[in-house]
Amino acid sequence: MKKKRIVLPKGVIKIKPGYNPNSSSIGTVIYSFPLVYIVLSTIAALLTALLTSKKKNRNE
Amino acid sequence: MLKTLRKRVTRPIVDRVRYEPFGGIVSVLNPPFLAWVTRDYMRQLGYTDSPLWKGDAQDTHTLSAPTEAHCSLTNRCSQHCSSCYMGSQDSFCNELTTEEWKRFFDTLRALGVFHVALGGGEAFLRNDLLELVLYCKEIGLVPNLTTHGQCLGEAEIAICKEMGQVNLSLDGINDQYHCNGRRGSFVAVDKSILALKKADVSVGLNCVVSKKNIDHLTDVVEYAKQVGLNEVEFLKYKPTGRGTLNYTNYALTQEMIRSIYPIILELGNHYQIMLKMDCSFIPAMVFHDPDKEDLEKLGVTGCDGGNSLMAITAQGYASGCSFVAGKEKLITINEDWQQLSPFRKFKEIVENAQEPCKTCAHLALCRCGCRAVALYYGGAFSSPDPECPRVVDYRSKEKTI
Ligand code: SF4
Ligand code: SF4
Repeated sequence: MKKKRIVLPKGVIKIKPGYNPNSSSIGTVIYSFPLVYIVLSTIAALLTALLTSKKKNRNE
Repeated sequence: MLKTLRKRVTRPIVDRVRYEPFGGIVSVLNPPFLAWVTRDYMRQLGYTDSPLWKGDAQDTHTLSAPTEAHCSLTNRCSQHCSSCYMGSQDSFCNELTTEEWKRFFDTLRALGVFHVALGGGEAFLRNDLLELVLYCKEIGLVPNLTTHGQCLGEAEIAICKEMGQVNLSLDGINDQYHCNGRRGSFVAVDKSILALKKADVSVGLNCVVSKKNIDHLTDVVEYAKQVGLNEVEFLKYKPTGRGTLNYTNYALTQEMIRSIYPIILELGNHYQIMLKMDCSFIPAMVFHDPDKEDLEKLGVTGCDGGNSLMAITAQGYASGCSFVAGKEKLITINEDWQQLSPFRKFKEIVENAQEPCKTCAHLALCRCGCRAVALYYGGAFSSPDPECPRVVDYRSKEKTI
């Protein structure tokens, strides 16, 4: 399966999914496909929804 | 993580937002993530302009405060593993009291830190762990925990339920459990994991990768997948604490360092489970030239001590990272924290970089590799990580000229 490029919504620079319970160093998510792609795309959609809901609230 | 996302609402609830010179960081807890966003995105969210936005917005790396703090709550541990990176054994005589830890957490919260990773030693050996965890939550810090998981009873599981995520140390399955000198048993960890899962705690593994287990990582990932864990984080075996003893017996060879990223990537693709590599593995990762833009979007960070990360020992010594001992007690840190020497030296790594890091295309992200490794080999604080494949190639070329 061909790896797809990560696409983030306009205005989102980077996303760090999850927590880092490791108390010694910083963990970096490995871009395995398609799981991480799905996780990031879902978070990206949530971030878009966040703006949409804000705009909607302002218009109401 | 995917399971959490599937259950998820269509509109996330923002937990906290922190202004940054480039815009801000948005923290969401359900599902958990941090998002770095531009000034415009912040404005669209309804935030007014910040005094931090006066200057240039280009630098999206330098932060106003760490995103996470690593807290060694005690040096005490019953396991006495032969290669413990902290050299944990007995409590230090002057470990921070409950009140002192609370003051430190207040400081972190005031700075804008989002998450704390609690560890030790073994954090469960502190009688006030629950009190500290609840205090973190009360003031708005998300507590996460690393434990050896050898003896989690009902009380410990109840504390774990308060955490964002709990990671257990596991370097191998069954007989391989002891491969890196770890004491205790796989059976006990397995039992704890099942109990945590039953209690609906979000669980992951910390797996230290050495010469002894690099050929057995599949077993760990397969196990994690089987029992439904959130993630496995692979940590490079490092020469600190008791890890300095017989380091060469455990340290990955150059060949292994060069092969670790493809191995882990392949495991992630095959088993479809979230896998992480720790910051000390970044030279091994960028050696394969992965897509830079993707790395940036995923927030991949090399030696980021003193920027996104801060660490504090059980006695209150602060540093940019737990692997680099701090010598100054800094329980109350103010807004100028980055100017304090334990953090400043991490900040200055890039400007003091030497060849081949100085002209390396990955310098901004990697930041000269792991300081713990560089210091072990007697290098200056900003010297290149001698285990980085590019550094090894550069030095061997220099020798032949
Ligand atoms: S010294 Fe740097 S690379 Fe090494 S573990 Fe600490 S933050 Fe990570
Ligand atoms: S040469 Fe230096 S900056 Fe480049 S990957 Fe190696 S350690 Fe990192």
